[in-house]
Amino acid sequence: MTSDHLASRAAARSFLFSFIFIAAAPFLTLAAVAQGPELTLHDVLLEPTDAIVAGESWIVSLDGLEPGVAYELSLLDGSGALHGYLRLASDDQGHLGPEILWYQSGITGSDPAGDGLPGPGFQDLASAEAFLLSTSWSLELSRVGEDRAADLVGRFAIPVKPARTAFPCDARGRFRTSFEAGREPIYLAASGLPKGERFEAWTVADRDHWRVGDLLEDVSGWQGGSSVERFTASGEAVQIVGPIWPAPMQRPGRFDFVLREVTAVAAEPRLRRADRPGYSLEAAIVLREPSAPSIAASREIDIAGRQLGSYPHFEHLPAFLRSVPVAGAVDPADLRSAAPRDAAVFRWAAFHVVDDRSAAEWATNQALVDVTEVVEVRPIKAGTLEVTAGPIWTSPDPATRGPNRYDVVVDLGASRLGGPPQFDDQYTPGIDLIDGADREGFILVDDPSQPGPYAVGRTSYNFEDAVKLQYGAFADNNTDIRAVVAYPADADGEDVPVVSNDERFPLVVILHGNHAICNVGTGCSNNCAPASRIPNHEGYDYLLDLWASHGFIAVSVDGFDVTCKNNRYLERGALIIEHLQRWRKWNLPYFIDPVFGGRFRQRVQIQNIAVIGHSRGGEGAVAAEILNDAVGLGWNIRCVGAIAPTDQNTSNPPGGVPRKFVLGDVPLFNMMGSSDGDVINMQGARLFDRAAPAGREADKSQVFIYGANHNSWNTVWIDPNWRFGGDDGVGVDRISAEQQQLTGKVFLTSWIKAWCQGELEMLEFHRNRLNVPSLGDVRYYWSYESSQHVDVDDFQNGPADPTSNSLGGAVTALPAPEDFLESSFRAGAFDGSFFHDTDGLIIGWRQDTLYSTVLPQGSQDLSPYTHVALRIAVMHDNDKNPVLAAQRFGLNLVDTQGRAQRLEIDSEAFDPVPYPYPHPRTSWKTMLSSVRVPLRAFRQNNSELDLTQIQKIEITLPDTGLVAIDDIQFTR
Amino acid sequence: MKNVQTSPVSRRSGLCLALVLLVASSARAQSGRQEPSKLKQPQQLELTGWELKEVAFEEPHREIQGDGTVVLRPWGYQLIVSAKKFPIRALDPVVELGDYRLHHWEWVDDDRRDAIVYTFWNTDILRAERPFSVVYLGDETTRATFEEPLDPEKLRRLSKAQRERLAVPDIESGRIDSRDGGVVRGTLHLKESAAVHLAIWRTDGTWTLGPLVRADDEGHFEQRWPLIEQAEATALVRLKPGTAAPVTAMMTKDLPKGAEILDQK
Repeated sequence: MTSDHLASRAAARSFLFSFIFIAAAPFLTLAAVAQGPELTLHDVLLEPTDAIVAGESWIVSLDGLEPGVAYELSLLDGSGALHGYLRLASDDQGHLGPEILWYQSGITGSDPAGDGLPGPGFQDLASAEAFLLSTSWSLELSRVGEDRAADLVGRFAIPVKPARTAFPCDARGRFRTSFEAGREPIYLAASGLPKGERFEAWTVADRDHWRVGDLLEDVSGWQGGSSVERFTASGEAVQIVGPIWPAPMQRPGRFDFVLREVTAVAAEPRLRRADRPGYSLEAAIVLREPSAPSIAASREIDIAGRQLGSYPHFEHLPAFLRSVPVAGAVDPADLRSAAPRDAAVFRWAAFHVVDDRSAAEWATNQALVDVTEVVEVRPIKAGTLEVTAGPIWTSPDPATRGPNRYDVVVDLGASRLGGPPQFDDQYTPGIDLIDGADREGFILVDDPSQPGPYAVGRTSYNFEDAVKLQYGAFADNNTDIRAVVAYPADADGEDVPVVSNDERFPLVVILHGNHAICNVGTGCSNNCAPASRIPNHEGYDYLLDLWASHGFIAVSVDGFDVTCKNNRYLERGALIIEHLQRWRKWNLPYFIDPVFGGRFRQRVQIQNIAVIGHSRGGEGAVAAEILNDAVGLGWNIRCVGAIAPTDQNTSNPPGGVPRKFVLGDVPLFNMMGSSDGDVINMQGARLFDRAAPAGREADKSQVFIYGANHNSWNTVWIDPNWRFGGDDGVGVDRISAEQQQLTGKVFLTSWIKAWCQGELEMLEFHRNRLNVPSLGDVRYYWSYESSQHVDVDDFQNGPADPTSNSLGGAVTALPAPEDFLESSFRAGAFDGSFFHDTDGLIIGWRQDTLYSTVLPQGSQDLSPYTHVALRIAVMHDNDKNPVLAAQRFGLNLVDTQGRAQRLEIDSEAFDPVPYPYPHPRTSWKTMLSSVRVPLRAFRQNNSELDLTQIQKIEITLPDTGLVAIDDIQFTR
Repeated sequence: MKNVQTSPVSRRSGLCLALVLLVASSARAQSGRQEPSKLKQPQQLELTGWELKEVAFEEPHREIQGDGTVVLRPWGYQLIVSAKKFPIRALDPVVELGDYRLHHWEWVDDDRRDAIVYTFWNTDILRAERPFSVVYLGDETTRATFEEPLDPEKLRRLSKAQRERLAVPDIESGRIDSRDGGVVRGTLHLKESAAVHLAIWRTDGTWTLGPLVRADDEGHFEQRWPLIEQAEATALVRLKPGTAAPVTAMMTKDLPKGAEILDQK
């Protein structure tokens, strides 16, 4: 939408407002309209309320809207003047909000930032209240469109009740929203307090959502310590309290305050229902850095992300999934606090999502062409750059296939008092905010389980008794080379040409595991007639077709001659390599190819290979790379995937490498089901734990899927038309075979697309930041380790000693926990519930416990890293852990100056820590999973934390519990 | 290190697990999400017998060593274990003889799933007192243990000519056949100069080492030792060369380091 258009519509609107009121169209009540839009007003705790409190921010949400439709919300007074405005799209449930429609009921004070720049709104609560209570208020809801009258959906009358509120002010009682830290004391102006009652004013770190039970920690004392202000209500209309925060004690950041009535019994420092936090979606007080320029030097910030259920309430992200909402938020920490000049001039923020442009393109073209349902418009709080975090693209569904790349621009807009927002619809460098000036702001990816752009050709090849396997203790003679193949084509069909362009495609090879090979007799006869052979390798057709559609030449190997036999893991790897050698020939420009007639000549990226295997085939896939590496075969295997793999090799590989396979420099993904009735001891976890050891560089990923069995990833193994198969799964909360195959589609496809097609954003699936909605309530838990990390504590080195970490720093846990030991997490260790191949920490506690691990000098600069991560598992202990309850913990960093994020990061906001799975044949399965927290969360809201001088990590373990911990890392 | 918790899942935890499973199963039944299991769940193996033999291979077996070198083995030992049925699984069925595991198995015949042959070279694992079980490694529900120990004396040997041609050494073994009237009778085969003593184990948990046992040319022995009447168990104990043996007839809590039990009864 252009600014001209917006302005002309605004002019028309001022007339229309009057018309509507004269016409006296019936008002919709807040909640009485059946089947229609339903407005909810919210108090500062975001609880529904029947009326707005004069002086507080007007927070609204709507239900019953048409899904995915753009709406305007206009707050009008009795004369039709516009005071609050939002332009947003409803979500797929027809819901919108809660959002701040009008900050502080329009109170800005005369100088909201204390920098001499005037506030455009009410000067104080008294003048605001007089107006607010004397006029009628209505919220006009309309669709965004050309025809205003036709677009009008309805109007809601909004009741307002007298003030009983408090807000920050200066020593003279003048309303303020922001201060320069350390320059002047901060007071509180309170109204409506009953005379003679005793109160406390707590100054606390900002939360977007206050909930009863949240920890209260006053920060207004010396060096951030507590100094709660206590006072007696005077009965005055407005009582000036304080100073609640003397100037010398201040430091930059975003803060709230909480008013609490003093009771006879000392109350817990946690929010009670009777307590009154001043603000929620906005900060009560913004403290700017003393040296902050009036306009921030850099306007390139992170904006796109997702809203979280608990603190820090928002996470900036690099990638999103088609159809899943993209949210936006502006963190003042990125702007070195609020910019007063902006705050005085700009009252509105318009969120544009535009096609990605390079820095050079932005330099020559600043026009903003939004690609979403609507350019979202939100108000800016006077004296700050506070903008409500919320959706900026409700239902992303671009016409072009992913990955699609976008930038986000917050176009700052102004307006005359009472008039509509006005924007220039241009990106103005140095003024407007941008996410993605020199790279993309975010990437929108398609669901990898959905077919890609290519039609799928199918073929197969079969060379009976073709080779003697080159590696392994058995070195089997007369091994068949047989496979089915899917590949990108112009049209679906058998033996059709490869797609008619000059593209070459990566090769992905998958190998099945141990299973009967013959549908008659005992199932294991290598003399089985071809017609009776069980086509184990055809059980992955659903994957092959999907991968081919995404631009892979996908090969599923029949391991007939290495199946139904002992061991043969190296042989399985050797078999995969035999197939690779054939593909190398078929790709050669000069090779006379009697099999395919040259169909694949120069069409294979023969040095861009993924190998995947299921069960023993998973170990075989790992073996292929072990052989490749040990013998120096020269294959460029970009990644390995293992589906419910074994870890049983007992043969010596060539090159003197260990019998227990240790994948070195190739990324490994291990996928396992908790309900596996065959590999019930989760052997894949051992492959994962040993992969990428110190000195080797590779990412590794693991997912543990509750309710998944062993067989269902292979459709032949569960097909009743073939003997010897079926559902092997055991335990509760089983998932269907279709759901299980969907996990394979999503997780394996994202893995190979990341490493073979360079779509590294696909790894966000493996970091638990992208999730396909079609997996519904399937519960799965990730471990992800980046090659770029430093181990703070891997609990491996030296004698078991829980009091020092891998960097040599001290470790403490206070008060002394009941269990505090380094232990093996291998099968049979501790309580017998582990299946890992690693050591870690066991900690069990019966009261709030603080675990601290110190970073020695030389290890305190976190600049190379983006996240702090650890692997953690709840352990079954019906004494310390509520059975089947997930665990959460607080996380913080402390710098060498003793500074920390003022609120602990809640682990649950980022990654779940589930209760162990109860397996009927192995008792509980305790499986570590990753919690990854972005380092920027610790800097959020201007915490001042210096990430170049971090002294220690603190983990707060609440109440009681028993957990296993491993691999505390800083990572990317 | 504090309060190291080493016990497996407690009885109380087990009861809790059962309760949780019951509740969860009930919830599952209500939700209707559970698919019926079509595959019979693995159960304890039904073992039917075993056979132990020396074998000469048609082609020497190639064993790749850890350093990459290859050792050719023209002969070896095979343990054939029979069961009602060995399921085809991702897990390997292994033989466990005490702490030793036999991994290297093949079907006796591709068309039979009731017998597995384990090939091995190290005769040290053959000790009659060791528990002899078969398990799909990692799945304890399948474990089955032979009541009869793996008695090395039941080894079916190659012919003398074959053994000489292949230079097969004797297996060191010993077996107690009877211990009546203070006399112990049995067989004993030693491959090197090692001392084998009788020993007794008392109910108070002490061992007493007895006299040296000497066998005739056929390997039979008959040793008198009145103390065996007081014993809970009688054992043939092999003392490796260099083992510092206690004075015989002295009671000790443990056998001396370097002592191995060949058989006990």
